[in-house]
Amino acid sequence: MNLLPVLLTALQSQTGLQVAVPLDPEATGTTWMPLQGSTIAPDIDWVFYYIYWISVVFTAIIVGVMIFFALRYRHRKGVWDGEKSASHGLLLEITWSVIPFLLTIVMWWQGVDTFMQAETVPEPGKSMEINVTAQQWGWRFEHYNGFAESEELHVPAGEPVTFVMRSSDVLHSFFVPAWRVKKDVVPGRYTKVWVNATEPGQYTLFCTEYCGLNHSDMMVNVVVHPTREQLAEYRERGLDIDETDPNNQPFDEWMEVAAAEFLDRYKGLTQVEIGEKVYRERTCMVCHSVDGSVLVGPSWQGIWGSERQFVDGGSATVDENYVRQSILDPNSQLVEGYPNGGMVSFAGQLTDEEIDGVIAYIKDLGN
Amino acid sequence: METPEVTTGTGLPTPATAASKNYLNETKGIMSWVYTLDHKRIGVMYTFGVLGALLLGGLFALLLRLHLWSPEGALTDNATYNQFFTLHGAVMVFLFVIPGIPGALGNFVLPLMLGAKDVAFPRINLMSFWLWCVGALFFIAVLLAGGLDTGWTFYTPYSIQSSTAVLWATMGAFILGFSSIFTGLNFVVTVHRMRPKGMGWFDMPLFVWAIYSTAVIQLLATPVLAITLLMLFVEKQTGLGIFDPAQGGDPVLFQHFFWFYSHPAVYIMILPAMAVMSELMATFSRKKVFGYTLVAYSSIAIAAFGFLVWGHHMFVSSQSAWAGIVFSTLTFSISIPSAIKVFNWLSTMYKGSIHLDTPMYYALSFLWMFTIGGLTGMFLGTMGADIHLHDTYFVVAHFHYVMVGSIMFAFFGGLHYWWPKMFGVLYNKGIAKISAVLMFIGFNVTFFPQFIMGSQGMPRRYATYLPEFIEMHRVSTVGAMILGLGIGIGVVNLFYALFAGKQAPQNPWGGSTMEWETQTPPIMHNFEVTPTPKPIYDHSPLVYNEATGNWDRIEEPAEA
Repeated sequence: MNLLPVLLTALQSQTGLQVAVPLDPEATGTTWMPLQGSTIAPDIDWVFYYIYWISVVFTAIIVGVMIFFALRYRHRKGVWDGEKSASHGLLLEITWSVIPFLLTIVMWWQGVDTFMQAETVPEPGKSMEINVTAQQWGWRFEHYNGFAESEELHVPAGEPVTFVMRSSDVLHSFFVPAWRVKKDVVPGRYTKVWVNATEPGQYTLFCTEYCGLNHSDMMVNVVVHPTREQLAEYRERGLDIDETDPNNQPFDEWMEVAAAEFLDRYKGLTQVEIGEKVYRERTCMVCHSVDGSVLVGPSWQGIWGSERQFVDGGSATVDENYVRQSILDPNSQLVEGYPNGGMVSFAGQLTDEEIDGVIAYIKDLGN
Repeated sequence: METPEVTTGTGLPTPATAASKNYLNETKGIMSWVYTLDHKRIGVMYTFGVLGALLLGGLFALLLRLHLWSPEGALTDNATYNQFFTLHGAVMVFLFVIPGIPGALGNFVLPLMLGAKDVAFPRINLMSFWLWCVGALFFIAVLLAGGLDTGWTFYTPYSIQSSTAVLWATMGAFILGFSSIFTGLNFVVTVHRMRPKGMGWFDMPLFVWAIYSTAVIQLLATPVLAITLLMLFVEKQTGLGIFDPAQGGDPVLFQHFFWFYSHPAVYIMILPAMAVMSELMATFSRKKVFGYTLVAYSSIAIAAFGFLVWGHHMFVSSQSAWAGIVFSTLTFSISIPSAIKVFNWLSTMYKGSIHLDTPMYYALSFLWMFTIGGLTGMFLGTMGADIHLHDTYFVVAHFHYVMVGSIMFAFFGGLHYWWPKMFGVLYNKGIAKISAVLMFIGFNVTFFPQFIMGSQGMPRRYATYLPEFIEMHRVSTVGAMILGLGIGIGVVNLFYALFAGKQAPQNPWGGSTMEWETQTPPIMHNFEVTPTPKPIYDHSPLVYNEATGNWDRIEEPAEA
């Protein structure tokens, strides 16, 4: 049994993700629910626990009575079977129809009320908006100032944030358990969710609508930045918080640095390095390996200059034009062995500089 | 009649009975089964068929659980895992749970309960079984043609994009739909037209009421599944643009179509289980089911309301919130008839004479687990709570408490109840009880931790998972092995009885309904003389005969 904690630590260091790692160690969840990380979480938990206790009481009554009857009225040898008792009772039947009915009305109303709270997105201008793009099998978040990120999602605590979401391919769903927030991300329409995060720390955003092969890898780390008041409070309480860690700084301070770095993200990089960065950050790596192994799509290693046979009978050599077309209009040239395509167009998503980088990177891998 | 008289004595376990003509031995040879029009033989073939499907689906379930032994996946890769959970769901739903109780037990028992010779349309009944086989073959073809990885729900646009054998699977489900419609059609007409003289609607066993309600849903809802699958088929082949947003379609429309069938289908699954429950509770408590009329009406109410609640699968799908509110309201209205049934079964035990035979083990397990399955449905029908719980393991646990904990347990309860009638043999009761207890323990160990896992945030359909869920996943896997063992022992025990079981008497449990009034196993035409209906669930004329193990029907003179 002592092995388990060791094993757990080893595994956690592999993925790095957990449902909730709050900065404040006193913020914890319950047996049933992760910690409450948003303004709506207490309301949803109230509904959950209201139903929970009704369920516990009813289960106890039903199972208790069942066991009692099974023992009390168990057939014994020599006793004649079938004592006559009432075969129906109007009053009793009305009672056990009406009581559950009344209890469920409260349940229903509380459910509707909290759902409408979650559904009612703040008015335009009253919240920070983040555009979310979901794509097999990764997320991309574009902030108000043009800063975009894929490997993490950063949001401030203490103010409403609205996520405007779209999907480039199939259905996905945006789920952060600690926030009690979930909404499907649907291709062809925008969906919105909002949150007012209360508990700084790191959380996991899950995709909860099955989206194919690597659905279970479609998770991303969510960083909730503390407000200055929260940081002051932590200091007062003597919490050991590493304030040099950018993730533990107030959102605007972090954003200032991150946005500047983002603007200069390709500064001083060679084209190959740009290509490698795009490969890592823009979901290319989910389907294309660079070590020769075949994932969903062909590996990029050694592909440069090779001859590609198309499903429709044509063929082409992998050169600059071929790669560019594969990025912008991937399903126009389906290669044998990968007849279903499945790649979405990156037209409008990648800049010419980034496409040039990818071309250079693939060229480099071929050498 | 002035003196008590034993009116039925053919159930004596004597060699004479063993050699007597019955539906199993009256005609011989494989073709006599392939072309049989006898509802009992069709029921028997269905029984073997759905048991095979259960074992296949169960095998996938065990592979799933083994894979989830470690967070990064212990057994295979993501692609194969996705196939496992899809095939597990599709095989279980389309080949076991939907056809299971109506096809196997309903076919065998329903005409007997009505004192009828057969169902209304025996040829359509046979067609239904062979269509089931063709549908099953399509699913086998899916296995050979590269599997299926869309989930049993076939959600678009992923099902349009997927390169696996979606077309084979949708055609299989399409054909199975017709099998289901044919069974439903037969039962509706049989119940309407073939009740014996003197049996009004409220003299029918509750099994018949619930199977009838099921049949109505099968008739009305299944065509919608056929339409939906056909549209998906066309969409995938031609890119017509119904569901695919790339072609101007709407993927959420598919969900509406799909759940418009698949939610009523949930009641196609659970009502037959409730049907079995009513019989078991009556027989083993030796009482009339408490509040008979209300239980009968609640079946109809469930069938009717079942059509109006599909949108509760879609609260977070981007469906309008107002539509969601309407669906939530209707969902709560359907919880009341279900609660009524539970309370009535419970009250049936009150002042009864409870015989804890094997089928009653399953019935009491059902009562316990359906309570949990039903109450956890409240969390999901409540919109606010559903935001958090939707598409997590909480949902997985909830519907397994209904599909397995309730429906499969009722199926096994019914199988153990009618097995002696079907085959004329008694199984080993001790082993049967051990298997029931193992199943109960295994089931709860498997699925209870999944509630907690889900509310803690573990999404469903994940081939790999965060390490913090490892303990609950492992407990769940161990539970699945115990459940698998329990099912294995139960099935082997039943089949062993076919070869080595003791001769069964005509009425080994003291059942009061008409199927117990014919010999065991029944003759080809069910009854020598059409029996006259007795007051429903009147157990008082049945008296246990120590010597024969049979419950003899003693006709007492009418009391002054």
